[in-house]
Amino acid sequence: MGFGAFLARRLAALAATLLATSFIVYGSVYLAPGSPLTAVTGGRPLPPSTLRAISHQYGFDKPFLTRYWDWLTGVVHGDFGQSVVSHQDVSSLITPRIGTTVFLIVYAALLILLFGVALGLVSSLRKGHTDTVILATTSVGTAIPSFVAAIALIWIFALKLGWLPALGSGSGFADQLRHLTMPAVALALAGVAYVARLTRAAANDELRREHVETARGRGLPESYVIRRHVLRNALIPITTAAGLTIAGLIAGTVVVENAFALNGLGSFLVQAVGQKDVPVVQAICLILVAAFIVVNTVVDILYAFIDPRIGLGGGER
Amino acid sequence: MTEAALAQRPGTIRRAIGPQLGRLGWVGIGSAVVIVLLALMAIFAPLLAPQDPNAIDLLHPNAGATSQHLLGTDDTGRDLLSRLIVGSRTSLLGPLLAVLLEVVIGVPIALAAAWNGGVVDGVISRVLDVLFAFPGILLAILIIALFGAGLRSAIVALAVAHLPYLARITRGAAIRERRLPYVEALELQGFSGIRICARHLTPNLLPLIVAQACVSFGYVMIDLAALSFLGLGVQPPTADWGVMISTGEQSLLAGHPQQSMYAGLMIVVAVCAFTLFGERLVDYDRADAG
Repeated sequence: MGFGAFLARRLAALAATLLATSFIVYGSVYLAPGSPLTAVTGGRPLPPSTLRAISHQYGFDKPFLTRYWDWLTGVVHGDFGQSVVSHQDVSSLITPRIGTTVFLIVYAALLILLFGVALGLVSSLRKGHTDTVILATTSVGTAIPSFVAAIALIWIFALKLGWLPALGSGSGFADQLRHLTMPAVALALAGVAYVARLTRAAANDELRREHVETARGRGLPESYVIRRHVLRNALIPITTAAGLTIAGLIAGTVVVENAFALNGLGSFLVQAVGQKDVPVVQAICLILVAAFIVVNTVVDILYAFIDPRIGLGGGER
Repeated sequence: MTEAALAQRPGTIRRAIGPQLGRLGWVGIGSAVVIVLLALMAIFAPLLAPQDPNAIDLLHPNAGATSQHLLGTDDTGRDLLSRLIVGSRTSLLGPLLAVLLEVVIGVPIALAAAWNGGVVDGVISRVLDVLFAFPGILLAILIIALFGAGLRSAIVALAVAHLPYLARITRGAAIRERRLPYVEALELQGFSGIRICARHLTPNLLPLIVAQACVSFGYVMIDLAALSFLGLGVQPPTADWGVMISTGEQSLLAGHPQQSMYAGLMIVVAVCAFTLFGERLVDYDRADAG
């Protein structure tokens, strides 16, 4: 199978998964106790005009699949309906908060790629104490939940040392960078540890290979051997693991944004759950899940792209 | 040959669940000891807790360690040591129930897929794929948004959210197991699929299921604590480690870190113990099967 066919296949699978998840997000309302209208409104008394707007948005008088299709067409056009709390368009409530969340994810992703790979390489190349210390730290690191890391970071860097602001998102690029440093570290911590362990294992595997011995035997400089023979091959498993870890950050933002009182999608989601603002919950869930699935697919395609040896059949998993 | 004799095959004879300790290594033994200690703490919490975990003492908020309060008090003067000890109950029982639910639903689904193959397998696998594409905590939040916050919703939500991984692995192993000659022999003897699955496949897959359930326990525990931290799981004033981190954050910002710190430490220790022990069991099972 050629790369084009592989790509088409992956994109078709992506579309199917997106469709199925949107169905879950939409259909879940019908699983809730009580009538779907109560589930959407959270059972609160609302002015008839809003109720009518909601009924129209969800089309409760039409058959289920028609309703789903209407909702989905709206979503595709960026229309997520109205919040049942503030009666504003969900899309206009969400848009200003996307920036913080994206900033946080990109920041944490960079930390994972940079420190994860660097720590893993150092651990693999410097045997002895350095290796042991890094291995032990990263073992514990993978078990530290982001909210525990958040608490520890706030205590040390905001309250004891006073280097960074404890809460809030900041405004302007430099201020945001300062405000989002601790959240990004808290979000990235487990991922850095995981990628470091994986890089170490991948680099150790490569170091044992014959082609590395041969390259050394040919008298090539060590730094060249590391870069061209070890790192280059080790990058293949690293890319996949790092990519999937980064996709996992998308859901992780929900917890971290709350710990640091950031004004992103995640904290808005939890606020909406507390207020039973179902249209907002559905919209944010759908956006985050869609982002997760898209990133996963991109990683999958990237993996096949950087390693031409991979069979592009993709059927068997 | 009898039914029991047919099920005996080299390498994967019905293995005891309790593996020989020596092969677990010191990390495995150490984490097992921690797990046992945590379980004992949860079981005997009311006896161990020096004070009533919910007794408020507004005269001594955020107190440091004293002979009366060995770990100090929280923002309303409740004894932190007692709250940590009693908090182990929801923090461990919650994940335990979620994982049990996950196994009770996930394993039969996986066996049904593996045994029947064809369309049944196709449908189950696609449904699992879609659930798998849903990040666990988001699925849990969606379910909680509809059914209301609380420990019960959180347990069900997390069981559903973590089920796909366990079911996928069990399905894969069950498909391998189904191809073995003893299964065919049992089928030829006229035993029903359900009986063979229940009496032979499940016991042979049990080491794998237990190992995966143990790893899953660690992840469910993080997610449950996260949900409680967000105010969507266990509700205050119930003592719970996740809740304690969240209520402790206010005290921490006022300069009293003890509540959040101790609760966070307990979570990290427990999660470490369960994931390390689970990974050991997985390695052990692989070495046996491979």
